[in-house]
Amino acid sequence: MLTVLKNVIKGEFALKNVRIMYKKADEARFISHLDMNRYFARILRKADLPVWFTEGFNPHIYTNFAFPLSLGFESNGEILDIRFVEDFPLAQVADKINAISPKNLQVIDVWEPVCKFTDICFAEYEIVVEGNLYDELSAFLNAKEIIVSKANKKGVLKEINLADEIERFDIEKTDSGVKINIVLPAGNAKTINPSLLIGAFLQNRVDDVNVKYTRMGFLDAKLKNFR
Amino acid sequence: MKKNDYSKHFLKAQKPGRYCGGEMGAVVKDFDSADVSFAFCFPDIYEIGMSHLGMKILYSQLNERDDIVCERVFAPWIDFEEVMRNEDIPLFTNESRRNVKDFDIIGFTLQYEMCFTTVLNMLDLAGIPIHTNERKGLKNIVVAGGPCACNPEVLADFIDVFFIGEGEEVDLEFIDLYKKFKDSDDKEAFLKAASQIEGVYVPALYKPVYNQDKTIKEFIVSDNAPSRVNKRIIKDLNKSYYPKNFAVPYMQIVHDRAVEEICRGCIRGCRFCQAGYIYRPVREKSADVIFEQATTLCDNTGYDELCLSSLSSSDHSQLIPLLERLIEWGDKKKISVSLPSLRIDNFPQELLEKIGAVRKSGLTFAPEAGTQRLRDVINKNITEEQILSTCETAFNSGVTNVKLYFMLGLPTETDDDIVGIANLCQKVVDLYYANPNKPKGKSVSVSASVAAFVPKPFTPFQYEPQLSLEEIDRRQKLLRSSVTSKKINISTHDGSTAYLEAIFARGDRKLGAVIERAWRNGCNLDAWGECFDFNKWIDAFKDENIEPEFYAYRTREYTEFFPWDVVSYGVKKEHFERENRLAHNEVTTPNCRQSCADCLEKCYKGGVCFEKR
Repeated sequence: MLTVLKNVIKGEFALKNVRIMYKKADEARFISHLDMNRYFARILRKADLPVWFTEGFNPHIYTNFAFPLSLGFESNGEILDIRFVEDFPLAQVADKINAISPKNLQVIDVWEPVCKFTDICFAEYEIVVEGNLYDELSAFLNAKEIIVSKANKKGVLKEINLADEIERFDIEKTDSGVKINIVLPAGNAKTINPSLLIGAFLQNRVDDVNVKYTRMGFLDAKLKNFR
Repeated sequence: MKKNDYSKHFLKAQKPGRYCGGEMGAVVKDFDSADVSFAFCFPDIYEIGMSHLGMKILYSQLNERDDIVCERVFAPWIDFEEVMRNEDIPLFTNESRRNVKDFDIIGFTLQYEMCFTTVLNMLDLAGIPIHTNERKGLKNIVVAGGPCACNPEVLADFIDVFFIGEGEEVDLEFIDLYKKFKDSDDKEAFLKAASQIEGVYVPALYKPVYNQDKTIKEFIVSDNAPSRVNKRIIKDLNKSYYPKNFAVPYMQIVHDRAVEEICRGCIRGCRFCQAGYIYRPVREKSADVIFEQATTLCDNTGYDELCLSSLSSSDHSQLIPLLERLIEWGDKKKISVSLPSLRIDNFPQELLEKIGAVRKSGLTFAPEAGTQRLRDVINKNITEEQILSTCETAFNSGVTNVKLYFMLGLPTETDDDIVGIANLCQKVVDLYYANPNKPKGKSVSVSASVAAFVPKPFTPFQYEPQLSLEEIDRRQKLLRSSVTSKKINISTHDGSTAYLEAIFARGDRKLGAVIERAWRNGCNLDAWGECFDFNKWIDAFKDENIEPEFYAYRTREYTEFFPWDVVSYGVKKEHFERENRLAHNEVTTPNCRQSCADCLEKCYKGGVCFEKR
């Protein structure tokens, strides 16, 4: 595979870019995005991998996350980039980390980055809703108009039509409720959080409805898996 | 066993990381295969409890045993407690989300008097009756240790067993005894046997008898329990248990780093300081053991900061060579070493910079009193010259912020001493501007944090009255008006918390009713400004017909039998009297390495007393 990302040259050696994909499950969904930074710094240190430390007054392990995940969401495909200072077989990285990482935070895949984070255009989510809501949710998602107020980058509330933003979705009835797979915009230009969509559906309800969000992965402009 | 599905409620509160557990390093064991289960409760929220070293040591130690399962419990913040009460969720542990009520032994560490209502609240949230006499049988035996256990009488209505002194040996002895009695379910027989373990205080076997003037006449002791309970200490810290790993939190807590304890006790004998007395004699860990334990901890936790902890780290006899070795190791691994509790006069400059003692962010120092006279009274043996030379060292390293800690309301304090604080701060400011090496173009900032003095049991000042709230207020105003420079910032706190601390620190068993009443009135998490409600406390005293002034404002006679005299921390009572007299005569006492004050009742066969002088 051609590396599109140029390796960074520092001093006498070229730093190797390394992309890690990991799962965030169960209790780990309560770890905030900022906490993840702290967490990875420790796990990488403990895993004894040849990670690169930033230079300057306060050297710390270099980590760069692709995209923040909302608190409470699980994920099957979070992505973070790190750099190695020497050659290290990427095939061994997952095992080294997984041996010491809690089972709700496991590395799925490690590879040399192909695309840039700015190439991310969409994210796919699985949403599991408890309750006999298949017909209502189906109607809601198929509607031509789903109007919500969303703050834009300047903090001004604007009305948008979420129906236009849904790239694709499918919905199925399960024993306990409804399962939705949905692709929504995610990126520098535009991001739609699935909780905005479900929030709009639930807004006039009185009862508590249990909703579980799992990010399945990232897609590029052509809807191909982000690598 | 499937975990209780409480997690669906976690997002209803701020910082769900407080409740979800699953941390790296947390010890999760099979509950059913253990013989004894221990719920270790810290009576404050996660961020505070996870910063506490003592809990980490005992948690790890208990879990080393195959027959014991120990899990952590923290107080829920007010938002999640509301969810818990609405949804009927009982207090649960972090590791397995098991109900605290399912545990054999419920243990609390008492770090601060303002956490007492939280102890009651946690028992209540767990569905456990708060009074000792309401709990029958051996299930849910409630135990407590920590510094506030030094006056166990105050919580005697609620705690079955107190551990006096250091816990690393007595906790296992207690649990082994519990194992023997567990099947019998005979609480009375168990407590009677437990009272025979040194360091164990069982309030049920001691009945305080009061004089007409409400002081204590005597304790009536039953069942062959010792007339006075002596503290436990670990004689050889090098051989004592220390964790190889910590549970590493995901979320931000107060102190988040690997911590290595290097010493217990303090040689200085400052007369206001309870810790300096209750942890006597001073015992050091050897540099080799410290290095080994500290590096192992860092390797296992992945922490990038190591903190060497003790009451007065500068006094460790091998500190400099130890630091040089640790810094060399730390530089390679990119781990920083920090050393709080450091006196930096006479300290090598290069080392100072490496351990961040003079961080660019500032220098912290505790003169405690503004005049030499008052410093002599409290036996804080530091001269103005030393204070200024310390600041000079800091300024030469580029520091522009100096934080000084003082107390207000110390015994024999006069207005001159208050003005002395302002004068001392001014001298520091002047010193900065006279320094040719000072950072160019930057001004200095001297912050003085002034706390109201609280007389504590087992100190030479245990006889002293606290300053009244009005007088505290007046002296705070005097201090502020004595400061003329804009470079000096004085920070003070409302005296009401200090007032309550003073009452409960030197309280007796009658205060149990007040604590309960305050809690029923809604007091909880009183250490937090958002939760503390002074009026509710005043009402609680009124409702229970107890005069708080009796505890806070009364001068005690040297002959008075204190509620805390039912236990002993090894220091002769005559020593406290002697030191109190010396204080009032403005005479200092040299530190343990300079000369022995013969303060201990018995020989502990170790520690600083045995060092060659």
